[in-house]
Amino acid sequence: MINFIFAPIYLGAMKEVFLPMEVGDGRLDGILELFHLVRGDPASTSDLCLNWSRVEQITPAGFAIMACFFDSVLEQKCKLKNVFVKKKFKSIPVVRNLLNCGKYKSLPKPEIHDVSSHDHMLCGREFSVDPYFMDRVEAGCGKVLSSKLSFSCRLIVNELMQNSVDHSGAERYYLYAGQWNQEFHVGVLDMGITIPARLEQKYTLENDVKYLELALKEGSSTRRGRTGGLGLHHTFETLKTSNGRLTIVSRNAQIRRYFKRRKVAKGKLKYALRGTWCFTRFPMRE
Amino acid sequence: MKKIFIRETFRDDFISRAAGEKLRGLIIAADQNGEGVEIDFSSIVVGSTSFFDEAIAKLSEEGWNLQKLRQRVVFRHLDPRDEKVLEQMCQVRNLT
Repeated sequence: MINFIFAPIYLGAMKEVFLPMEVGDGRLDGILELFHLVRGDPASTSDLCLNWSRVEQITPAGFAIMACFFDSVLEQKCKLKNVFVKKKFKSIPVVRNLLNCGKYKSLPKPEIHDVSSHDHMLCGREFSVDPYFMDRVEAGCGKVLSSKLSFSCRLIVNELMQNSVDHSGAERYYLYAGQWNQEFHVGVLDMGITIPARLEQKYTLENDVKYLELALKEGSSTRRGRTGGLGLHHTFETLKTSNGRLTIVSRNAQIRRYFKRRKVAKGKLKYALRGTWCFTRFPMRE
Repeated sequence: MKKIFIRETFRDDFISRAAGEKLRGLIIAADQNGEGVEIDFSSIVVGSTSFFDEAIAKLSEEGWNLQKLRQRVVFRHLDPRDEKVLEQMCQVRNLT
């Protein structure tokens, strides 16, 4: 499957960008390039024409990415035009809001993108944690979730959510969950202070990959005046019999941790993300 | 014995470190008054290593051991999956 964004085409002052066939947490280069066009360099920010003609699928993470994109467009006062949006997508709240983003004078509550269906859920929240998110996911998607899988999702999403609220300084974040093919996806996305930016207030490391590696280690913390947290590290310990994986994207790096194999894959990004996105995938059948 | 209903006292947050710290404070305050604590988790699945670490496992930093925890704190209606997480966090903090 071809899954990328063509290099922007310049139509006068407006750049036309093709969205990929699958909008989601698969290959992120094209998506991050899109954010870079909106947020990367304030001097070069211009109006965008988003061409949806290639889009066939939006994964559960894709809805959360779109919500972040909506926020970025409004924050950067970017003029956005959407063309060739398929009818099947127009009833989805976050897509509908993107189509109408020109009508907003200021950033609306993140809940405007909320959706809860039998196969996916998106929740925008401000300032505080949402301890009932997984209860709603279970109520909506309970038939496909085993007790173990549901609890694994709960452990990881609760940890990521409070990290987002505690550390990112972002006033808002997005939670998503949903079934995708033979997997269950959950995650938390924010556009706040990145993990490397937070950690470099306390540590000095050579690059952002190292900062993300440090963030996953036991006892690393950005909290001052109190003992280090064991949260994410011990969440991994609890999930060590699960076949899932967590991908964290923050500033110039991404890191992928496989729970059971304990393997870690990491890399630098072509385009920086001014925020932190955490994507978790679990196979439906262990 | 002092009773704490998590669903009521921690209605808006029963997963974060801040919430765990608050619960630990209630346990310590009760202990200082010579009271035990009954913590009721009815209708709640916590699912947070941070909460249990901060609320219970960090009692080890106050000089508590497992014997004292069993004497002073009773857990009611704790989901079995949460119970495993709690045990794991207590082991990590040497609350044994």
